[in-house]
Amino acid sequence: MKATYCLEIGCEEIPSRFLVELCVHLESKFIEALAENRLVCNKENIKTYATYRRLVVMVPELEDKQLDESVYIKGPPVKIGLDNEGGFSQASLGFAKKFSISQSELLVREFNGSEHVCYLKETKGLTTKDVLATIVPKIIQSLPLAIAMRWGSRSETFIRPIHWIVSLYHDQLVPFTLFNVEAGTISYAHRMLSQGKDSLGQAVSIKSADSLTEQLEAHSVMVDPEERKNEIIKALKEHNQQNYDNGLLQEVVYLTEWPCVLQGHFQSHYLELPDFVLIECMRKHQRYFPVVIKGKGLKESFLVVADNVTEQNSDTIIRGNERVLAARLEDALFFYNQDCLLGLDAFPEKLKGVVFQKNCGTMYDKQERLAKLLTFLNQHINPQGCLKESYDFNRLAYLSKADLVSHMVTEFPSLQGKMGDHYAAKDSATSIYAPAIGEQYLLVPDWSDDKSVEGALLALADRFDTIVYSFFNGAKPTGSQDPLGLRRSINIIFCILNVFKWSCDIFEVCRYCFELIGANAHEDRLHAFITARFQALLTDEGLGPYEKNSLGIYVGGYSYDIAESIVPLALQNVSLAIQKAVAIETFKRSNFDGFKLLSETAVRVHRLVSKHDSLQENNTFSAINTDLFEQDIEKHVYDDIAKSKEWFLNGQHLDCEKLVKISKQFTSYFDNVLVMADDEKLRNNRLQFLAYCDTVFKQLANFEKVVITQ
Amino acid sequence: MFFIHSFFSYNFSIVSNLTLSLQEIIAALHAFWSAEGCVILHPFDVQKGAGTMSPYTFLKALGSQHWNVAYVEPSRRPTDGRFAENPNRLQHYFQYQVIMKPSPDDIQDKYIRSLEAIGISRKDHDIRFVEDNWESPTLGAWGVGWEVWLDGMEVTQFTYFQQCGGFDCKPVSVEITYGIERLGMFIQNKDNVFDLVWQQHDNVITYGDIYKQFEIEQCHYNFNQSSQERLFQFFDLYEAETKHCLEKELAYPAYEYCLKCSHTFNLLDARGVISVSERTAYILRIRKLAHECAAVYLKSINELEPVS
Repeated sequence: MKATYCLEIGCEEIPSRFLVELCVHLESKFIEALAENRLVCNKENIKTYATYRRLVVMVPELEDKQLDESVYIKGPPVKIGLDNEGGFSQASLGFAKKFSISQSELLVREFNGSEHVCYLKETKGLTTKDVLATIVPKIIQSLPLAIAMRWGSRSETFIRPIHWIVSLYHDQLVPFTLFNVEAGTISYAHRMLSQGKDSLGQAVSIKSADSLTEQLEAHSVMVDPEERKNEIIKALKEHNQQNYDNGLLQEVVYLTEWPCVLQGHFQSHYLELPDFVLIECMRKHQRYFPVVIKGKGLKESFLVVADNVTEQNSDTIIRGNERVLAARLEDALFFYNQDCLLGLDAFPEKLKGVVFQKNCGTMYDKQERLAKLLTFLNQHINPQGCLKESYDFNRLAYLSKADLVSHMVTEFPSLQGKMGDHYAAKDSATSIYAPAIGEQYLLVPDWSDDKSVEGALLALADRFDTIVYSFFNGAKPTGSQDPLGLRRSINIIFCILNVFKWSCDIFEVCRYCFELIGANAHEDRLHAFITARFQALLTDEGLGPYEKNSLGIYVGGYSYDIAESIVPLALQNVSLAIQKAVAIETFKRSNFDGFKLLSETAVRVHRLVSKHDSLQENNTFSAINTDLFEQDIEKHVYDDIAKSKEWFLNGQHLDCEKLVKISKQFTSYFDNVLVMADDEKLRNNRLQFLAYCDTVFKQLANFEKVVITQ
Repeated sequence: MFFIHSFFSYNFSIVSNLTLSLQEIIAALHAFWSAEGCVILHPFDVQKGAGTMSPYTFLKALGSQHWNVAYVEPSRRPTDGRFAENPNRLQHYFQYQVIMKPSPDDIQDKYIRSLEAIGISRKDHDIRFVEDNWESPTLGAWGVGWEVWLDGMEVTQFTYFQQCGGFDCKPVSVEITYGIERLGMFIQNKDNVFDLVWQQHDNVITYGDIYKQFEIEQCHYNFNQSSQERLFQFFDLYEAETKHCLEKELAYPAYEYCLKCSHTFNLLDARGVISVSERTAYILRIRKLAHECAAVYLKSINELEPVS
């Protein structure tokens, strides 16, 4: 017989940010434990649900008995286990005794290539109920918890105190006790909306595993987060809000069991505040959705997702929320007016009191370094950075971090940059710097070449300074430990260089940053970090955001070897390196034999010329004397290379056919031409030519690093 | 249209329910928690930043003996002062503090019933428990819990203590901290804290009548008039006295001087004379004192476990 097993863990309010992950773990732990314990179910359809008060698992079509099991239990090896006559020795008899079996059950069998005495242990499957009663508490205790807590006098930990557990296989209780709570068949309805004897809510006797969600639904609990989400979206749409904040939506879905969207209002003079400030006031502390009227901007109104709404109390709830928001907006308006009164120029001096990083001076110091670094970067990037003559990088740097000490950013840290942008734009003397101040904090997916050059330079300078200073200060970003966000920072650097197609010697910039802080230590670790990050950028499939960069370049999932072979180029020119990596990878995937030939050719050429150091220094194209060619093939290859050398250099739209053709020419070249000819002039000219070819191939990639396996 | 409607209906509700004065709210909470088995205590007579810093919480949360207490605690946050010009900010305000050790299983229900005792019914409002974990760097204490939202307004901090003074809390105490002014403004429908009705007998005494001048003068002192040289000296002296008491293994006197250090630090902070780099160092000094006070306290009740 098959039936559903259902587990509901009833808790005090679980933080919404943990619930999605808890469900994922709960599901995988169940699948794992069921398989390990030979319980068969329709595991594709295992479902988990969560509200702020409950974690639920549904295991459908679960067989009512554990599978039987037969295993060979390994005893002593035959050398010891059998005597000279081939009978079982004392050792084997001891083995039999240990497992309480008779001598007649002993067998000899091969285990991983060597023969052992053994016996076949056959275990009858237990009832599913009995197995579940043992494994479910273990599953619950094995859940990884982001923040574990103790409560009362107990020493066990969980995400929040547990109040009830429903554990039903079809209509049968699967009993166990955990955290002093006995699993039962009683669940509890909505804390406030149901008529319970206390604030646990009304007790609901669950009839069977399959009826849990339905029975709770009848008592004002939507167990399924999808259902709650749809309910909220429907209400938002009824208020004409199609573009809502998805992160906020996700959060309120898990702050509710019976969501109800109510509309409140605020006084229209608060609309004086910039929209992004109003939105932040509503979102951050209050979790309200703003109301936007298409083409007109914000309306003096908000949408709150409440959880305890009845016809009688909705007006009170709206009024309460209106008062809270009014107080917050009043505060924000006060801070905003204060800031405006002072003006952005009043703030940088205060940065002297703001620490950049522990032991790393103040933000004022940082801002001074940024001024120099901006000028340096502007000179060192190619083809060109900012050309506006009136643009003063010192001024930009001076204003860039000013908003960090404004009242508004002190109150709403997430508005950094946005506030600076806004305040700078208000004054014609500083408005030229506004876009850059705002753009410096953009993240990878937001960068595109319609952003300002100065913003890109400021973002680069800021990130370079942070990375170098952090390394100087002993930072070691490893695994999940990257508290300063250095990996994100270097990715942003790669992203900007790629988006703006700037070439720039990354290590040179780092050297200059070290110079600015008056140190030159830790370069090796820093270089290794940057190199590894670029490779990870190309090889890491998990680097989701980068895939969506506005140029639509798919980066990620490339072979490790190609990523590694392209690194030296990337350190000079990120966008070119990415283009080439994409082209080569595509080539490798689409025409493996041709790619293999190209790679072998490049390596062969390289090895031939690398023995002759003197050639490397003078490998210009013009140094090759075509008159010294003896055979047609020499001329053919020469012509091919001559025609395509520019194309190798920029690597765009790599033509695989052409590369294969060139490689084939080389095969025939090596078959027919004796490079190391006796005649010194001939020999040197040929080596000169190959040295040039080597340079050209290396423009494409370092083929010595490329692994030729499919 | 909307505003007119809500204005009328709200006034009506005020007329129909007798609104509690601030002192009635406090009295009702006292009666409620007294009936729940709490000792009703009075404020501890040393300036401090929060009800948690009272020895009735900080020291009593340590060790194994059970402890249920409720008290009002004046709390000082010198940097939060606004010269009585901001309707929501004060440098001196009141917390209503409840500690129950070990935390009872039905503590959330008790809390919700305590709201009903002051006229806030679960049926009339949207009461939510939203994650807010608490940590005090100066006390070496942390816990997990929630802020409680009442129709979107944060009125209470609700914390299960996990560590205090750097020692594990076994058993776990639950701390409920009501913002008395917030609750009062909610119940009395006031937008300005100084308009709160403290007492309503023959004539009304407001919060402002009692505390407005106090706020203004304290702000002048905190921000402009305190003597930084003397405050620095105070800090050093209080620290020395704490250490002296610790040497003599007198936990309570030591802790009182530790609180004085903490308040003096807050005053220096409000004066803006502690540089950012010094700040961390001062906090660490106080934390070390608090930790040692906790250790001496545990030793005095014979519950100091040897350091492993």
